[in-house]
Parts: sequence; C-alpha cells; structure tokens
Amino acid sequence: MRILCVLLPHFPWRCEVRRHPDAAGRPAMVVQSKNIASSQKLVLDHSPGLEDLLCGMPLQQALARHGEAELLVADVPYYQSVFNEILDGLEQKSPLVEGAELGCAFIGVDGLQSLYPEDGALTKAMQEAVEDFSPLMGIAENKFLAYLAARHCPSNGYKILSGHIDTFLKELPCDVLPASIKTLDRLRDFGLATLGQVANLPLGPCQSQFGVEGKRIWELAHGIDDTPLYPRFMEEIIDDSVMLSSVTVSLNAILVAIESLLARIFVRNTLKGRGIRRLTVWTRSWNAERWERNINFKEPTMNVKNTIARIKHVLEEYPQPSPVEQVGIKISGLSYPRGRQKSLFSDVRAQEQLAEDIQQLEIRLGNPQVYKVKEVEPWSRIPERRYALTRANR
Amino acid sequence: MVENTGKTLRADTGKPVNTPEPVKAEENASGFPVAVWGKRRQAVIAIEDRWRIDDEWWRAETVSRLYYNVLLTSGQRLVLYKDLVTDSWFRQEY
Repeated sequence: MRILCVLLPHFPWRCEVRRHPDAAGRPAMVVQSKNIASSQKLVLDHSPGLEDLLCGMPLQQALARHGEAELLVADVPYYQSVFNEILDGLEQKSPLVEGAELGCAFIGVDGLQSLYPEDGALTKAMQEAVEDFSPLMGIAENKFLAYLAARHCPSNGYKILSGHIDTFLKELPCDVLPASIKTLDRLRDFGLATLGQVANLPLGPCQSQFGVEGKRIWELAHGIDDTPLYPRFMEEIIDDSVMLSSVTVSLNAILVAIESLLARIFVRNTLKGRGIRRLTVWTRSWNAERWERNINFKEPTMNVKNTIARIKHVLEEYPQPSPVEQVGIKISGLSYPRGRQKSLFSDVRAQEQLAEDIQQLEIRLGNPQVYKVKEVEPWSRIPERRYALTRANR
Repeated sequence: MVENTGKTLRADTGKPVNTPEPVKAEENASGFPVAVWGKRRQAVIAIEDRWRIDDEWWRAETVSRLYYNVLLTSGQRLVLYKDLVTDSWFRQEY
C-alpha cells in the first residue's frame, strides 16, 4: 500500500502561535513539567531557529543556550484537539488516516487515483487541510520510508520514494531509526553511524546483539516495514462548553453550568435516543490551566439526573486546582441502552434489583449507605468483637 | 444476619457493631451502680445479674470489665459495665 506521511514540524509551537499570533516572530520555547509529581520543566518544542535545542532537554540547560527565548506553558490537550481537527480535515481527502503522534499523520492513498491522478494533486489537496502548519510530505510503499521521505523533502513540498531506495537510505544517520536510546547508544558504540552500515550486517548477529529490536532495525535499514496502517475509528463526539459569568471556585456553580450543558444536549435530541457511555468533563481556569477527567458509565445513561450525579461525585473527589472560568463537556461512546434478560426466579430478581438500588444510592450520596451485619468472632466474650458491619454490595 | 461466606474480612472493610457507649453512673462504697444518668438521673432498683470478663491479657490494652444487668426505676433494663482498667462506666448490650 502506498502511504503518504504528513509531518508538521514544530507542531506545539505553531499551535501556540495560532492562539497567540504576537508570539510568531519571537524566539520561544514550549515547556512542560516532567510529570505531575515533579516541578522540573522540560522543553517540549521550540520556534524554528533554535535548532540546538532538543525535545526533552531540561529548561535550565535550554535557557543557558537561549536565555532570550520566551517561555510558553504547554497545553497538550489543546494541541491534541487541534491535531484531531487536522486529522478530520485529512479524512475528507482519504478515509484511511492514522494519527501516529502529535504532528505526524500517515494516510493510505491507494485507490485515490481517480480523484487525484497525480501525486502533485494529491499532496496539494492534503496541504489544503494543514496549510497553517507548513507540512512536509513524503510518499512511499511503507510508513518508515514515507516518514523518511517527509523528513527530507523541500519545505512545503513533497518527496516520493520508489524503486531502488538503497542509495537514499545508505547515508542516513542511525538516529532516524525508531529504536530505544539504549540501542542507539550501542549502535554508536559499535561504530554503526549510518543505515548503510547497519544494512551491511547479517541479520543473525544483529538480532543476537540487539534482541527483538535488532531484527526491526535491520529490516528498517533495508527499507522493509510491515507495520500496518491503523486508521482512525470514526466516532461521533459532542463537544460543548460555557463561559462562566465570573471566575468561581464554587462546586455548585460549576455543577449548574454542567447541568445546563447536559440539558441543552438532551433537549436538542442530538443523541437521537442514544445514551452516554463516556464523558469528559473539563474546565479552564483563569490562568489558562486545563483540568479534565474522563467518566465511563457501565450502562448508557439516558437522562441529566443520572449523569450529573456521577459528575458531582468526580468533581468532589478531584477538586479544581484554581478558580474556574470556563466549563465544558465532551460526550463520546454514544450507544443505545442494552436489553438485559432478568432472572426467571423472583427472589434472584429482587436481589439484583436491591443490589442495583444500593449501588445507585452510593453513587448519588457518595458514601456507602447500606451495610450488612457479618459474624466475625461470634464466640468472643467481648461483645463488640462478635459482629461487624460491611458494605452491602461487597 | 448474613451467612458467613468464609471470606477474609479486612480491617478496612468492616465497621464495628455494638460498640460501648460511655455513660455517667454513680456507685456506692462497694462499687455497685446505684444510679445512671441519661437525659435524667435514674436510680437502680435491682442488680439482676453480674459477671466479669478478663481477656486479651497479652495485649498492652487488656480487657477487664465488670458487667451488671440492672433494672431502673422506669422499668427499663440496662447492661452496664465498669472498665476496671480505666475506672469508667459504659453501656453495652451483651
């Protein structure tokens, strides 16, 4: 299958420029925390021209090289949503689109000859979907070669790799291989700097030295990549949000806003008789910090009351990090309620109904409400050791 | 009462039942209860039964209690005990 790779260089930085156009002409770095528990900041991306900066470099090291660069706080959910919009646009041109990682997409182009007889027309059509991001495009017989072609194409152009590709691959550095840092270091230690040198090795020694990765990098060095394309799964998503009249920390105010959003969605019959299986609640604070939580429902929920009970529980469990300015919900996983055959025996049905009612009560009120008495040490002379209360559903 | 399923009951999954409630009681020179304070003071008419338990002597907090089954002026029956370690009175069904 012929695959087109669309690379969007400096994607996070370009998303920030899209949001703040005045940052366009200035050197800037997009930084994010290493992880939730750590305060260490790492460079996620940078503006063009700061090429000695590397993704993942500690901020202090980056500032030592470019102290004049402006710092932008990374907003990965926003970049993801922009990337999803781009993938939606690419899907208008071809139904087989894979969003491999942020800023890199693979598109299956087999069968599009009747729409785009030439590769130039095809790449021009793809460019229309991503014109703000200066895409680099490559076309080849597999994903790895398409990726390499995109990396080495002229700016805003495209490159096609076909036929004998050994000459092209021979001089490429081993850093382009999708291998672990440990493997890349070991390749360097062995003096293997280019794909041509790796390709000259026999498969057996390569595999014995590098394990499973050895076979993969040997095949890639020969331009062989059997990784299939994983197209996006089309899913209907309903996204809505509301700006609060004033910045607030009140849980009730946030719940009222979410309830109004849900009521709007249910009233408009957007769901068309379907229930909600998955819901993402998100908020944006006054300092543009984003908070979000995913909520999954065991059964599709069909009304506002049941949905808001779960959302309230989540908001109480995970408090907001700062005052909230905007509240939104994203609904996915829409499906029709399932029919369930109940037990033939009335006492079993009663037990199941009781268990479900108890569960709903717990979800609504947040704490266990119904307990049952269990024997612990009924022979004990100390009365309080004889029995214990346990949650009814356990 | 739920049948014992045999599953191990973890400490964090159970809440105690019939925990003793502290109560204010008056006692005479011999140590027997003569009155109990609830919402109001009620005198003890009769001590119908008395027994002692001493348990868990191997622990730092031993259990040493003197139980009394008393009849109050209102006709109410009550089970009290005096904790012989702390010298406090508690009310608990036995």
